[in-house]
Amino acid sequence: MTKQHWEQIEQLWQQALQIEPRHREAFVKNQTESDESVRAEVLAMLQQEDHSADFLETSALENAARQLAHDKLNAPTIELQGQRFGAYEVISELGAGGMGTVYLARDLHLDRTVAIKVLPDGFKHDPDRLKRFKREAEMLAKVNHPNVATLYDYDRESGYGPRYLVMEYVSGETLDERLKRGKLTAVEAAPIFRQIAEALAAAHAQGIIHRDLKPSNIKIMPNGVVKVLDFGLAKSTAKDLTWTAASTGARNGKATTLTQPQMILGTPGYMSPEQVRGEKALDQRTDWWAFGCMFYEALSGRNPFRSHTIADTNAAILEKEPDWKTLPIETPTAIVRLVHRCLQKDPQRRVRNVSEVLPELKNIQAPARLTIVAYQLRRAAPQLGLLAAGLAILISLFATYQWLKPKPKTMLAIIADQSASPCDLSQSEAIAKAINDKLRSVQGVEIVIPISSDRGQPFLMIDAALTQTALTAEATTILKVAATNCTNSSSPINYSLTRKDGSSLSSGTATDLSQLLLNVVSTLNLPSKVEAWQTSEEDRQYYRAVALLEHYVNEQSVKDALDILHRLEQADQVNLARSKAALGWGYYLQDYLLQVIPPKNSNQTNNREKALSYCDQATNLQRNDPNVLLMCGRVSTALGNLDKAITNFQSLLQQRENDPEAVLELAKAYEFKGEAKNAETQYLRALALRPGYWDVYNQLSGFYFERGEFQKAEEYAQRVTELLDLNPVGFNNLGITLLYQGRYDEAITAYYRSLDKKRLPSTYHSLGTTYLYAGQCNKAVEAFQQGKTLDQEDAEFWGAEGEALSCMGQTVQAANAYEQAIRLMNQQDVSRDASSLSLLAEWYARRNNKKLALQKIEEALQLAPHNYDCIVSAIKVYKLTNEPEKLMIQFEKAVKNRKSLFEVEHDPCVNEITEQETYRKIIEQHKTQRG
Amino acid sequence: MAMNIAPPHDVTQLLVAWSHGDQAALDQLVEIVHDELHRKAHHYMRQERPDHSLQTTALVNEVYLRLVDSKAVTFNDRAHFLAVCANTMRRILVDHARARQQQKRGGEYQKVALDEALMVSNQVGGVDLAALDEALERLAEFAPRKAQVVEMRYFGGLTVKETAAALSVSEDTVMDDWKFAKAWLLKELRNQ
Repeated sequence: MTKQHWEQIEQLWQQALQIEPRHREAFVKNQTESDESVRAEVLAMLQQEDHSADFLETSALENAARQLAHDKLNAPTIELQGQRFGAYEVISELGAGGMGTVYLARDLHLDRTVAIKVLPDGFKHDPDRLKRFKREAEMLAKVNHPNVATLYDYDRESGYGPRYLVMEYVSGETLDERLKRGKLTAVEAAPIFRQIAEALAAAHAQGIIHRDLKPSNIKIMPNGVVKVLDFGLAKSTAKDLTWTAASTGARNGKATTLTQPQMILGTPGYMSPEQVRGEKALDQRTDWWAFGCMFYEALSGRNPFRSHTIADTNAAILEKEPDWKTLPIETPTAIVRLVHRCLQKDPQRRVRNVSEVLPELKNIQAPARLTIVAYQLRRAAPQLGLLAAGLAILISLFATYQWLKPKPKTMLAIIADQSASPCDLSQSEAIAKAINDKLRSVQGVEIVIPISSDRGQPFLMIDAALTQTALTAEATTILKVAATNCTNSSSPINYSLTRKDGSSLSSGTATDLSQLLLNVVSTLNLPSKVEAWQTSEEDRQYYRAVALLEHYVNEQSVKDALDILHRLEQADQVNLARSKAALGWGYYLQDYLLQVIPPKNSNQTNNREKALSYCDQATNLQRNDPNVLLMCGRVSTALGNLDKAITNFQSLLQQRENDPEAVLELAKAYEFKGEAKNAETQYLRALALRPGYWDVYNQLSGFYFERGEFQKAEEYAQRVTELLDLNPVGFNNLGITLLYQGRYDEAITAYYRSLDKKRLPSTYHSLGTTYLYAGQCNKAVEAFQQGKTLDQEDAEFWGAEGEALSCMGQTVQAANAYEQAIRLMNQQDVSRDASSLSLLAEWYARRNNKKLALQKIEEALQLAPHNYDCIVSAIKVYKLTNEPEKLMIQFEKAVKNRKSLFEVEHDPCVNEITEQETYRKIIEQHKTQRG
Repeated sequence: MAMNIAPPHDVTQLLVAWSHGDQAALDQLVEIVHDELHRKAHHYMRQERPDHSLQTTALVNEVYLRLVDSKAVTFNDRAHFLAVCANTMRRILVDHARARQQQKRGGEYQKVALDEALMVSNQVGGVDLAALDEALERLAEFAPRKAQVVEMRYFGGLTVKETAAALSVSEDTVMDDWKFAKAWLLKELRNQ
């Protein structure tokens, strides 16, 4: 190993730890840019993770002392063989524990095999030990139950207490051993846990709590009978037993209670919060907690709280919610509900009685439709902190729509391979899109991604980001495709189909799309209807055009797409409607691009009219074609025909029930229409459909942000950063949600995390604005200047720098910056872009050019009277040009929106007005109205 | 047992001298600390009560209080002293473990498999200190600080705060090193 290797190992290990535990292995396997040896090393370390909690957590000295003691305990083993204890003859050792060594023995009277637990020699005169041993015997004697190992006999000869116990010998493997072979399905686990529950019920009925339930204390016999072992730590809640409450023994002249306060009782990872806190008054609910832990572990393969160190594990028990997503998706609701109730940190809310447990374990079968629905709803709750109201919406929604169907076996993510493609990805994206559409209606498979149309951010088009997205979105299988030729759309296709753990299902080269589909379908064991997989050259052309429109929104790509679609319009009469609909979307995009960055003197053709006309034609041809509904629905949303858009997406959802993409489009249309409740409902619906897909959280965060619900926006933005930590925009967004809550320091931290991922101009803009609002004008200047180094021609940075310089009182430099901003902005035609116009107005106002300032801001307000960015700009312009009446009109608009109000209150250019009596009153009024 | 222990004053002076760069002072210091710790560690180990938690920290602190005039040294000097103790403790315990193994090999001793040992590490068995020592040497080749963290925490019983002070790094760094080292060492021990 070299030093360099070592650094890579450390780095990869740190990265892996940032990811949810269940995805770590796959993540590491996918880091193909690291050396194989590096990955192998990190994987080997990760495999130890579950076991590392206790490792090295007791000191070396203690370890050495224990080994010494162990040597002593071990020594008599050999001597004991063949030795008799009363009527019992020792055959062999079964196992050793702190409470004693257990031997297999023969009962010479009854001629049966028994287990004898013998107190180690070293403890035979220890009153504490003798008492505890006696207590175990008495407890076992009281609990006579088929699921508890029966006590047959004990040593009655000793005056102090029994030196050995004779118990039923239970063959079979422990639950711990069983779980080492793999986790259990709900159907397998239910009978085991039913028996554990019954054993606990019997003990609890006697006032006995076990206190040390863990998988190694549960034995599963070959005939399926389950026995709970080791009541060595058990405690009676009854007060009449002399050896329970604070019984003392004299040793070294000091009084010692039976369980000393410093002693760790119980086992890390299974202790209840009250046990961790060292509370003395424990009751049966402690056992139900451990029961829940074991159940969770049995189903998921992981202890819900175990962490690297005992301290971390204990902290997790006290504070952290288990990761409910680790439970398999098909787990029946009843069981999830039960585990949930067992793992309530507040004992008051936890299961108390077996009567609450057994009904949940009856009739556990393969999951049915309704149970899955309820589970998904609940599952979203803990991680998101969804409010009860949100949950209620979700549940009532279910009554109206039936939008969640059972999860199919295969959750497929289709990814255009970013590394294997020789040129731009549109050919590969086209293949991904085609497969997505073809497999969409097939039973047994669900497409996880792509679902969103606007992911065309280059920094996310990298393999690591897409793979992470696929895994967090709960893909079980990943299909990567790569075209082998950039220009020829009928060239062969490389593909690989892997499981989520990175292991390969199949890979190779397919001669064409049809063959690829056939390979995928047969590998995944999907119903094979050969004719459905036939694809034509036209199909591939069409999907290429769609890929160009959806992933590469720039002038050239739109132009190329329109060319392809016009050719298809002539050549492909069969699919004329979809081509026309895509043309509609393409012309809308062209209109949009010209509006944002129009070249000077371009003859603005009637792109909008063309967009509308193509959509009309498409609708007339095939009103209910899903492609037509989707594309033309988008055009309608974009052009403000929101009712039409909503109708389109609703019809689409009738055909493609639960298609997250359609749900998100519907949500957006409602949002733009101002129907916030409906929009929220649909966003949450998308979230329930794709609980691990970052973009849904991203959209929802944006929705709340625009509504001024910054705290909610922050929660969802936070989730975005967790789900896809490679995404710089996620951290930038998080920062902005913090900024609007006045949490400047946290916001700045988030921006720097974003800049660590990628230096994006927009992040410097956010950073500078935050410093400006926080009153750190010099730092704001610095941030804007750094942003400017990324794009010298960006007018906005010049303008922003001017503001920061004004704030510092450096009027000369500020004036230069404003002039530069004005010059750059005027190189473009911004006559139709309200936000550019309003910025321009601000800069004119700063340069005391009152006439142009007023002219530009009025143009902007005419174009977009309800755009809050323009309204805030107008307030600044009217303040600078001293137009108090006009200012008041805009001010009254601004206070209605929390975002713009925040800006007015914090922007150094205008914030002083909010201290004036008149304005203050208006603000107060609105705040009280809002409640 | 009569031990030839230097009076507190001397150890304090040695410690101060060492903190000013006097390497010879360190050698003397180690010698004194070794004798004292050796005696105490063996005393503790022979109590043979595996269910009673032994506090290395307590032990080291006891040695510290016995040997050092705490008013005359700074917190950082104290941390350095504890680091010396940790290293000494490591040598004592590893030597002890090696001796124990040799003794066992003569008899019919079966080495407890590590899995099993870990399973019951709260009760008996535990970590093979000799193997751990070798693994730590390998770790130190590439990540000397991580190895030191383990030495101080595991062998010396230093708290995270004390370890951080002794190494002049943040507590977060100590925790990161600790987690990494644990996983790496466990992997090494298992792959033996």
